[in-house]
Amino acid sequence: MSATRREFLRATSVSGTALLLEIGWAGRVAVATDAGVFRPNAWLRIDGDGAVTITVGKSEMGQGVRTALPMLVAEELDVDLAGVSLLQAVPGPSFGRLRTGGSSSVYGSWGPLRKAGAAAREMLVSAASARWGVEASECRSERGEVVHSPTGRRVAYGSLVEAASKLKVPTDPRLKAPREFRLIGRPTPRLDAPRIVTGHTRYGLDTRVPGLLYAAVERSPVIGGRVARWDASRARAVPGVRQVLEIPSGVAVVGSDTWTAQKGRAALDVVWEEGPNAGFDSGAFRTRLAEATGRPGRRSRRDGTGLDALASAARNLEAVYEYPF
Amino acid sequence: MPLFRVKVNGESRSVDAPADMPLLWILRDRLDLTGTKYGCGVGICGACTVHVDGRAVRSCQVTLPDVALASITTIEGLSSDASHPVQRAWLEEDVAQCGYCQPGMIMQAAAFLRENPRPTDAQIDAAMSDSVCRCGTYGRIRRAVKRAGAAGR
Repeated sequence: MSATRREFLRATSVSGTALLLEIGWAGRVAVATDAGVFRPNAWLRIDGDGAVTITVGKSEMGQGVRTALPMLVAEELDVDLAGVSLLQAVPGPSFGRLRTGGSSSVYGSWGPLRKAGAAAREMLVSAASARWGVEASECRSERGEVVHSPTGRRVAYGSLVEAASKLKVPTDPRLKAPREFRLIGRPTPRLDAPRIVTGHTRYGLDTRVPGLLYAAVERSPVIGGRVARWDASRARAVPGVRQVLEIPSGVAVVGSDTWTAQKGRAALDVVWEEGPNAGFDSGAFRTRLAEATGRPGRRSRRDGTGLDALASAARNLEAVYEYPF
Repeated sequence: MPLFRVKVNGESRSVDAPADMPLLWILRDRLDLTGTKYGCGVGICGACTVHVDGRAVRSCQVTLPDVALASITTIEGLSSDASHPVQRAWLEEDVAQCGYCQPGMIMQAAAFLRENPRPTDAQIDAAMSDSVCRCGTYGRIRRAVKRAGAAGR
């Protein structure tokens, strides 16, 4: 993390039963209060029963964030990975940016989530040392417990959260050195796999709310086209169709279930104004691209000695890869 | 709307639906069994695969009158605790990435292995090639199918 960045860690007790830290993606981590110092991007919560929950807005799309992000926290907090659950943050006033993209989830969370885990760990160790009346330096953390090394006394994190939540959040907690890692850098089975293989993972399409209706959208067959006129009388005659309306991307049919909406959509009569791409021809476009590759290019950078190596290589392999757009 | 009785995951269920509604939408929108996924709706991607009397069937391509007397199994009914050999193999090989296609993949593999418990790689590829995975987990799928076949013997 950049030393020039301001970083906060904020904690509060939630009705005296949990330690709650607010974490900002730009490296800010702070104690949560009712007033709210800033709009955090993530939360770390440790409950009285020792349950650890992180709430983050990073969407899982196969890249593994629902495993990798808990690993960052579990590593520094010194708890078992299985004991960390991840809650999906939903857009709203409580959260700042909830963007997922650009391969940024792990490297963007790397500092803040580790720091939050490390800060919580130090607060729990401090709370335990105060309870025992011993030096914090004589205490260590170990898999969800604080241990007083000279006497072997132990106390679980959960019973320390209330006291810990009243402590000042360390601004610069000690992060583990890579050689101390026991989770980061090791192949780790995905935490969400059991739910996936039993069909219990909920995707966007699986969301259910009371009174849910379903929509199907008829879109322009040409990119950039728009609706010229439409007639929904046949669509409205489909039993279960509730509403038909024009929206920016086309004409939406709303029905009591997906099949009804799809049948209604198929029964729409839409005339499109196809716009500037109406005459677009994929074959001609491909030819134009292929011709362009034969013209002299312009060098924008030159790295390494690859061209020399190719010139003197014993064997050259050539292949052409095409991507339509 | 007509009332149908269907047998899903061992339970007899009563469903009020138009006769042309594909089984996929009966499962998802009427019975709230959302483990069966909608991919293409035209029977080419395999995400909606379920078992009808033990055979792998694209649920978007059959209607209730087609399966009226049949016994239907969805991913939720294969086992609820991931104890089926195919689910176990999927976990051991850590196959899934986004996971969206995997219920269909698993149902396809389970039906295939029942008929051919000792498949070659080529037979696995042939049996699984009509199921599409955007994440590209095919290598792990092949290993998991092999592993499940070996475990089931």
